[in-house]
Amino acid sequence: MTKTDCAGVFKREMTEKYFDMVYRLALARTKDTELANDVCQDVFVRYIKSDKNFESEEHVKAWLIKVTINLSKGAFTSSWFKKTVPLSEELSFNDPEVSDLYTHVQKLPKKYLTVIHLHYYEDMPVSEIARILKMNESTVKSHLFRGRNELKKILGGRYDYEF
Amino acid sequence: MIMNFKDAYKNMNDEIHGDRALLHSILNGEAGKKRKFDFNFKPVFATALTAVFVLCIATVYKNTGIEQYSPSNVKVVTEKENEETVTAKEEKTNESADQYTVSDKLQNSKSEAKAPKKSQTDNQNITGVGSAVERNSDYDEPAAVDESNAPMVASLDETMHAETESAHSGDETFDEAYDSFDSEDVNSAPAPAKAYDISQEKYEESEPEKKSAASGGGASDIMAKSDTVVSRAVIPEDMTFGKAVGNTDGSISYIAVSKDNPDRCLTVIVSGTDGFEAAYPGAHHIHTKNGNIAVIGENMSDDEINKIIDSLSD
Repeated sequence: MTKTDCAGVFKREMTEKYFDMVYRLALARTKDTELANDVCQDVFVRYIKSDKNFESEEHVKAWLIKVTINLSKGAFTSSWFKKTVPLSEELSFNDPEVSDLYTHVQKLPKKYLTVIHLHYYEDMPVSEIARILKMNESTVKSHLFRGRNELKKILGGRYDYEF
Repeated sequence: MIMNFKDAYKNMNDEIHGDRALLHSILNGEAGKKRKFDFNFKPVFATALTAVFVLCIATVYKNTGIEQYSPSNVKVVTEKENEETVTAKEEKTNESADQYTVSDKLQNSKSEAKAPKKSQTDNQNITGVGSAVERNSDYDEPAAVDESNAPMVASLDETMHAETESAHSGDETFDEAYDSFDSEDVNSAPAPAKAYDISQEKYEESEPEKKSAASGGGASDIMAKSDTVVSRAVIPEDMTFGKAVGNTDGSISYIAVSKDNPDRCLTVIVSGTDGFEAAYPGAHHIHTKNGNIAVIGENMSDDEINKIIDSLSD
């Protein structure tokens, strides 16, 4: 197997593995399933086409997260987005509580939602989030703190969550 | 019941899945491809090429005079012709200064068209086409035939006949023809490919002309454009009249084009300034590149036109 073939197989594995992660992050950022699909597609097309030498799987994951966040920002600034009204498609969940949680989480500001998503779902430490998002650690911590407070306010009275 | 937010958030995200079909389309290279520029160049290119071709033809055959130098008009001069031309020129120089004789074929060029005018003003004598027709200064009546010029006319007829024969013989090479080519010969040259002898037309019935006029042929074009009655067609049957153009000397040229071979063309001039119209009021004549002359009469009967033709052919 040649070096190119090996790289192709590795990229395919990474794509399979992190596709859902990218999609969820894009969904958390865009709050729209179609936009999240578009972002997800663009991310992996860029990944497959890129000639970048990734040092490790973690490097790939960090690169995918960074590109997803950047493309999610770009999705809102594109002229297509400005000129069209998206047909929002609500996700359906089996558990109504989960569905409720999703609805309320989506109300959070994007900057808090990204940090919360990376911290609580991707299990990333504050330092890594700060590195990927190119922010100070204290900024990440403050975003986490404010995000949690927002969620408490939103979810207070209905569900009692321990953060 | 107090729940852990982290677990609840994970559960929520675990239920969210991306579009796997989308993922596979990406992996198989079906997505992310830019749409190809779907544009068929073939018909556009063909149309553009046709347009350019038509424009080129229109430009070349516009009134630039270039049609005079088309292959069908270039004279192929043989040694025999050269000798005859020299003889004709010597005879011309021997003519008296007070009488101008139009050359064996009426010249189309502007410079030669001016020559008869000069002689008219000097001597008030005009010699018609090949028949040496004299006219008075008031131009009211047709002049009497000058018998002294008859021998010259005969020799010129022989010259034309010899030229026609030599054109058909095909003995000369292209290089010889190129070396002997000059502009003067071009104007007086008969068309080598098809010499059209009006003297033969004279004794034929006028059926072909009527037929061509009725069918919208070349003769009918002349009638339409110059509002004259055509008594003798000078354009061969296989040719048709094309564009009419005005010349600097006031005459009108028609370009006749072969119906079968578009490359073969012929320029005929309906003269309005030289001595013919003065000699024969109400009549026009056409010079063809093959050295023939046709007569067109304005509201003239066939008999009147036949008289003119007879006088020219004598």
